Amino acid sequence: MIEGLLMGLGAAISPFNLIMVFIGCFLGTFIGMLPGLGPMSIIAIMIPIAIQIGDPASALILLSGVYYGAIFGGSTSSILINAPGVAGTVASSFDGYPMARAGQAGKALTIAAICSFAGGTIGAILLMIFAPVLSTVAKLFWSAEYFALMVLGLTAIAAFAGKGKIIKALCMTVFGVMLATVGESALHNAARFTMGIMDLQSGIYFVTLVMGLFALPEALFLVLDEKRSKAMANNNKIENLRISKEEAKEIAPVVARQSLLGFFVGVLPGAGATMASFLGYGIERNLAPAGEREKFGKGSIRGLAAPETANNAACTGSFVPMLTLGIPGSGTTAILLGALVALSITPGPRLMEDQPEVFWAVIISMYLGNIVLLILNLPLIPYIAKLLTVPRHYLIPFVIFFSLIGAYIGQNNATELLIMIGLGCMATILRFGGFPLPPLIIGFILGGMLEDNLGRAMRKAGGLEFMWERPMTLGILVLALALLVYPIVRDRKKVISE
Amino acid sequence: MARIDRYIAFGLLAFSVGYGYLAWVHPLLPFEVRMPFKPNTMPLGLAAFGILFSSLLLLLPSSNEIEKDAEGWRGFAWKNTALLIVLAIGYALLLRPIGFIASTTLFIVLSSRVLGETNIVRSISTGLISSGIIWYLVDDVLGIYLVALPAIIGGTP
Repeated sequence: MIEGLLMGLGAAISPFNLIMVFIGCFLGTFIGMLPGLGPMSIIAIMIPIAIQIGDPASALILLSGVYYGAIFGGSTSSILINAPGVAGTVASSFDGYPMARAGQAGKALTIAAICSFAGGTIGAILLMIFAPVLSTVAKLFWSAEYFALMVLGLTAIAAFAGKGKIIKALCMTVFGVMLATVGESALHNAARFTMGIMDLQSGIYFVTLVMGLFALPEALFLVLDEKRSKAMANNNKIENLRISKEEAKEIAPVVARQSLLGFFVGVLPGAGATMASFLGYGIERNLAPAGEREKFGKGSIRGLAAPETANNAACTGSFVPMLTLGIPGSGTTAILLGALVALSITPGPRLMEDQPEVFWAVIISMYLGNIVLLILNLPLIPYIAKLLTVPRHYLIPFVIFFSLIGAYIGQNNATELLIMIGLGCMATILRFGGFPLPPLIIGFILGGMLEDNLGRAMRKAGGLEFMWERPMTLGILVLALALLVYPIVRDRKKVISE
Repeated sequence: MARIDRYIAFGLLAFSVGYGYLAWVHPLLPFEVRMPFKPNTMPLGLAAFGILFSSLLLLLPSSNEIEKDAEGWRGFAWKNTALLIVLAIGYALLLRPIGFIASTTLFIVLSSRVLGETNIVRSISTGLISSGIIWYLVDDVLGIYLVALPAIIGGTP
């Protein structure tokens, strides 16, 4: 392994490659901030440039920098303006945005940068150690286990079920899964619930929904509630970037746990960063002490650290099936796989033996990408956070504009904008009624995968028997039920005793 | 107003019933009829859960918090919010016919004016510069086609 690392270092550390990683991280961060342009689209855009470079190690280093930069950029827009452009950073907005609203935008971005770095770096170490073993474990997971894993991911909604809101949270989750069933599913060719609208044939576009549910209502609420938006403007002092010793102590175990969890979830093809971030968020809420648990969803540093660490570790974990089996575990790794093939590299079980320099260069590029991202972004945080000091009469139109254009550029279709505005008005009304919106988006994101895996498992087993006949499925489902019911019972007992 | 969550619950119940009805009447292909998992299997289950949860919301007592919140709604800037929604709809409808730069500039100028900007030169220059930069970044650098100009002077809708 040491030999391989040295080989990778030799390939990766050259002035040209260091410039590549800087350019990649910089471009990734800034383009990633635009809602609608997630890592997948940015990497796809960068592939022709990477191919032009010619040298596989340099090309991979550039793409890896873009990848990590884009994820951090996505977290930045989630935290600052509540506009998560990609599913993997939705959970970061749950606590990151309330922190920014409370005048802690700089601190929130610092936590995001450090946790992303830690998650990515620990993930890269785990990748180095476990890659060959994990590829065989991942093969043990079938659709039944994936279905159970999706149900486990849904338990993250418990975090939004406080103060008698459990039924509202469940209602929103079901509503989110219902929206995910619009259009064609992977198992059936016929479109469902499209009402004859051709643009809904391929379903509701994720960015349209997320902008409609989060960014647009937030902008509308800032206009509606002038008192709150003025209080927010007074809170925009951004000198507070430092994390205190106590806070560092508080998030250290979260980072350790979520790096491991995120990495292992990322290894499973199809699970990826989104699943890891929701799972991480739900688990940390359950593990938090009673007082801290109440802060989840209102600006908890644990609530921000958990998804930020888990999604980065999962991104690294998703390289395991790609490099060792040649199976892309996520959309982004599918695009990277295409880039590798275009560079005449065949990922798979023989990659480590046939082209060890490429395998190790990918791993070293992950370390480099994470380090450069931290070096590049920490000094930039005060300037990025200054975005919030833009006067209210420009900030609000720009938030609305970025939400609209994010939905538009993804589909190049003006109907998406009208759907988004409709969803935004609906979400504003739901907020008035005290309905938590994160469960809706969790349901929507996991809904499609839930149906596909349930369908496959039921077709294979001939019914629902797989739930109790497969020990691993049963184990995960029991854990999911316990994670959902235990906090509800505990909160209920607390309310009764009070 | 204070019982808005009840109205929403009723809306969700109606939605779930409508969704369940559409799932029930979804046409199945002959080979799908005997399958253990049909295209409407999960939607029917979801409709049942939707009806159950929204009915529970209607039947259980309402939270006092919502009623407390309703007090604060009286001072809300409803007119400006409605104007912004109208401007956003106008932007969606004009984006293709008049091009990205003109529609974006118009949206930024008008919405900043609604929110209290009085300096028209500053708002026009902000709109023009930002739309120009974003158009260049999206269309030229990233290669995602975005029609810049109105159709009559060279833009292709």
